[in-house]
Amino acid sequence: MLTITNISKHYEGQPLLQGVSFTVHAGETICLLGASGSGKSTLLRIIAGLEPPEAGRVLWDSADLAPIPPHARDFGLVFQDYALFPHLTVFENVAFGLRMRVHSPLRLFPSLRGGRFSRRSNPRANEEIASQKALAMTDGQGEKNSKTELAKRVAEALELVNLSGFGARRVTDLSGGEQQRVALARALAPRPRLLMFDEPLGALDRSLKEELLDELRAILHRTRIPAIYVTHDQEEAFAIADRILLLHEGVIVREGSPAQVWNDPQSAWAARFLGVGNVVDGKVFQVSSSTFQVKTDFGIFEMECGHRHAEGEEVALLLKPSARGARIKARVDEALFRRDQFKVRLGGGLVILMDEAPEIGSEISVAFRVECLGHA
Amino acid sequence: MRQRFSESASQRVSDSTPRRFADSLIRLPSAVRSLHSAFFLLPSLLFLLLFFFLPLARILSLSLDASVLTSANFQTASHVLRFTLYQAALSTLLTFLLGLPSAFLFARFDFRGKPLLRALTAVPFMLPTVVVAAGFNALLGPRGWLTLLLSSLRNTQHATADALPFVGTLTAILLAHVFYNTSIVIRIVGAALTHLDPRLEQAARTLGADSFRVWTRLTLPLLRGPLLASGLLVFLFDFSSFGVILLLGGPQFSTLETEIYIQAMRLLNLPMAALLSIIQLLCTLAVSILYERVVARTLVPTTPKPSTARPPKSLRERAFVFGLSFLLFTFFVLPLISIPLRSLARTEADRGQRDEVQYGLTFDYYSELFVNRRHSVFYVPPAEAARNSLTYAIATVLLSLALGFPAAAALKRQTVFSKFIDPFLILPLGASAVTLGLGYLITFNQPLIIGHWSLITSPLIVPLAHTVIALPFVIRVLQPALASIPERLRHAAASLGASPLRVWQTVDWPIVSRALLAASTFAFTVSLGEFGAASLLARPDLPTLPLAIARFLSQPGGLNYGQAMAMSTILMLVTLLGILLIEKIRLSGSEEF
Repeated sequence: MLTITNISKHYEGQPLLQGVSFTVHAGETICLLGASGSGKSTLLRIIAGLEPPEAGRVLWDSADLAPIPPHARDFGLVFQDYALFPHLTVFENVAFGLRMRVHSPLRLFPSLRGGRFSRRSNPRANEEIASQKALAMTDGQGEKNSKTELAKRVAEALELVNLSGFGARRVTDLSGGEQQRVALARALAPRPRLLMFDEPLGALDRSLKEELLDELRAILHRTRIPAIYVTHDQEEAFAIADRILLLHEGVIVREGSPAQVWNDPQSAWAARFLGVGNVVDGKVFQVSSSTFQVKTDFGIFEMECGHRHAEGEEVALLLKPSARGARIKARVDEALFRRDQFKVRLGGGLVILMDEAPEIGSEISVAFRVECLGHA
Repeated sequence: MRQRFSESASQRVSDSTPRRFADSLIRLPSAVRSLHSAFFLLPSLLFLLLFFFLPLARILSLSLDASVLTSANFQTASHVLRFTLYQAALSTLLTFLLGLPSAFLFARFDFRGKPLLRALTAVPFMLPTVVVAAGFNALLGPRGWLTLLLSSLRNTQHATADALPFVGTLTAILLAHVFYNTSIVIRIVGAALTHLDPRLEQAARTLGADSFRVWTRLTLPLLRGPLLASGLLVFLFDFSSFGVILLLGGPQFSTLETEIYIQAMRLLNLPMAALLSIIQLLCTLAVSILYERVVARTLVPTTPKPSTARPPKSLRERAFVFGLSFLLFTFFVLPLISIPLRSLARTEADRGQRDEVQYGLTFDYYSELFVNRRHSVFYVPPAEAARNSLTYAIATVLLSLALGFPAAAALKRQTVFSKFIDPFLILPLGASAVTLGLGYLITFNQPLIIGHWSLITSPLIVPLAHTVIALPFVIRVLQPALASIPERLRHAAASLGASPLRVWQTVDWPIVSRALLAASTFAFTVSLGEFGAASLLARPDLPTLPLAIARFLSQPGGLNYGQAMAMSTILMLVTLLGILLIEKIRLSGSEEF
């Protein structure tokens, strides 16, 4: 279990991460979702040990990782542009991590690191230790065994990413999708205790992205390796994450399952970033004991919410089209074809999806459910 | 200029028509274009044929004579060859010892004074050998600063008694070679290190490689190409080094280059010199071919970021950065600063001045440059040598531009013909200046058609040789600059209403003029500092500045030494000015020269 507490980091004088905390549980895939430049990648690099945090701690099963250098952390990292070793074949790329594991004195005593092998209750641990031992044998007969074990593990990893038989190829001759698969196999082969993905599909085109996303989700489910997936693309995040963390200006602004985050973004920025509905600014002008009234360009809405509001406060409201709710009359400015529906832009900037395109210039009445997103 | 217009005109047609149709249009005149470029390449090719390939052929035919190919000669040659290889290998090794950490320093760290230090390490590469020899002489030689310091510490009068065993030792040769070539390692390996994608290293780290294995399994294998390339290049320069061996090593060391000179000029054994030249050429050729193959195969994954350098953080890093930059600064500044300081300091009595000696600051060495104190017919005052050098340099600039500009313009476009011809134009880079000089001695010895006039005794011979040396540089500078002018810019200017002349003025001229300036400066500094060819070709009554410096350095007496320093100072300053100018042109332009 990985726990991050209060990680902070500046970049060129600007605060990049401001007290980020979260936990990744066994077998869970979490997704850090945020605009580019929000510090997602830096956070991954801090967890990997490639960069020190200015404040905060990275813990694995409550052991502080600060003194552990990146090569001893046993975390896999997959980069956006793959970072494959161009001087090695596919096989050698995938075998790289396994080879590193064999000769390192640290690796021969896994219990020293308090890693997952120390938990004997895990049935996979024993199998893993046997495999490690086989890999590490260097004397006569053992060396042969270690070679076959290495080949076996590489073949397994390549099979997992559907690249069986690609071992002898040069990585520079592969397509983008194939390269990303090799990168994934390379990270998977040593069976790390945590996998991290830094915008892994960013450089690929849409259809390939969807295909790889499905495969990746299947692999993560099968191997049960906990994973942190970083992206700026909400489609990717919704498709792969058990849990989503929305990162904005160095702070996690929303955390929850994809459905929770979508249905209740809880902040104006999150709603706008995800494109949940129409976010409208308004001014509180009357507060009573349980409800309050907000004046907007589209009329006055009366509502209740968990926040406390004062008169004159600027708030953001989320307007979602729904069967029942406040009706707003507006002129149709344009209607754009969007696959199954039409994206209709109304006067004042409201946007809704409709099954049929209304006539441009006509006035229609739409019912919205209005929620308060708090202070604007 | 005419060619440019016609080309841009045909381009305009082809761009506005659909591509497939345009292709069929272009294919027809490609033969015409080849002819066209052949016409512009002709002067350069004829020139090189006459003044480069013909002399080489003459050397070859002379060396293949049965009287030359004796076992005694071969024994001498193999002895010389062995020492040449030995000192080159040792120099290369030492260069890497300093160059690799320096490349790492420049590639990975940002620190105060980094641009200055980088410029400083690059300066020696373009300095004339005589200046470098004079620099080390002024620092460590029998009249150098360190000797003076030691003797003043020991309080002895005769400085020469305390002379360090430096000039005339292998150490001197090696030190000067390291001084010369470290910048090659810094430039080639450093550039590769700077642009090496840092994520590869990070990927290796997360896969369990500690920093040692990141180096051995990843960084060094990835840098194999640049390491080999810079190693071969450094070896090549050390192998064909002439001035350093002659001036710092002295008579007891003979490499192929110096032996060619000694056989030709002192022993007047031209056939033996020719044999040595051929051996030298074959070795150079082998290393060059190896180098080309290495460069062609080099593949370094690059990062989109311009630099991965950062300030040093840990104590170890800071100690490394401070220590190495201090060492580099000392190593590269001391020999250079010693020359001007020594040229202004009187430390011993001059000849004929024994009673009225004034120690300390003096400008005498500079004013003496204009005086013919010996009233000898054979004595040439240094000022005259400087004038000769200047004349030769200007002639070299004019000649190499006249030949190089049309050639560069013709090579701007890749045609089958230009691809075939390009290596021939660059080939003179590989031949040594001494070999070139020898070739001229052999080839242009006979009087030409008119009376007693022969080329070898004409003052023209030196600029001709210098042009052969400078021409590849000039073409290499001009060609990418000419090719870099984007056709789109011309089209844009034309579509905005500029006449062809205006287009040339506004689009071409700014780039062309700067490239021309850079190329002329290159040719000028190359000619000004050139030592090898001039030492074989310059007439005794028309010496060049480097020859005068070498002559004065080797003569006894404080006045001669001081004058050598004064001349070296002038030569160094002019060369530095040239380097600065080229650097300024290069920095302010987007194109890479």
